[in-house]
Amino acid sequence: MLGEFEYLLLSAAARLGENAYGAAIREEIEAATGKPCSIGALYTTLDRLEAKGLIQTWTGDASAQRGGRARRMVRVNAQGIEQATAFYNAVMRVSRGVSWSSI
Amino acid sequence: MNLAEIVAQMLHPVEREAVLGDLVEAGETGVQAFRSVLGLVVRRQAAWLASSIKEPRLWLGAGLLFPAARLLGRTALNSWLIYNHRHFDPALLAQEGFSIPRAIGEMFCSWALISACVLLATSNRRKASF
Repeated sequence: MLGEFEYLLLSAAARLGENAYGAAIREEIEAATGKPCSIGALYTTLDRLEAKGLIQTWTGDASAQRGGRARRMVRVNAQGIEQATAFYNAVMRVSRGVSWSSI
Repeated sequence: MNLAEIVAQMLHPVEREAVLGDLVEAGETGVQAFRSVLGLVVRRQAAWLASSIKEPRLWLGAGLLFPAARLLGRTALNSWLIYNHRHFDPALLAQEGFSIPRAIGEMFCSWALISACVLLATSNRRKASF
């Protein structure tokens, strides 16, 4: 089963598609959660997901916007999609009938 | 070179490029960038330590390093005494436990221990994780 942050990262990468890379994923997570996302957490989680075979990463092009430095591009694998779907379904199932606003 | 770039030297070159580029893109500079990179470096070192903690070589190396360091210190002193022993009273040196054969023996022990540490360090065949 995925961890919460792993799920956030997979979802952000899936949403970004071909434009998924470190800084863009970080921005997506921060926008979605409203909390800062540390580079340390991001990159160590990327490594963990890659080791699990859920994502694939490679070095992308450099750009002037990044001071001529390359990007670490991310693509979610079929297994990653499967695990994220399982996580999402589990959250939906366990949340059924729960109304947090009334608690 | 700023502080973040200096700390980033501890990262794999490919990862360093990506991280520093991300920081430029996010507009993080100065202390903020330094803290971000330091956070990643600390996590990387902690992960390395956690994966190495069960490695007997780590403990063997740590066990060898302390006596090797002590012997190396004594070797430095012995070398100086051997070189200058004519200027000292032999009885006084003997009273302090100094003898040339013993000093040479300690030198060899020190060399053997340091060599063992170097062998342990260079026998690591693991590849970088990035």
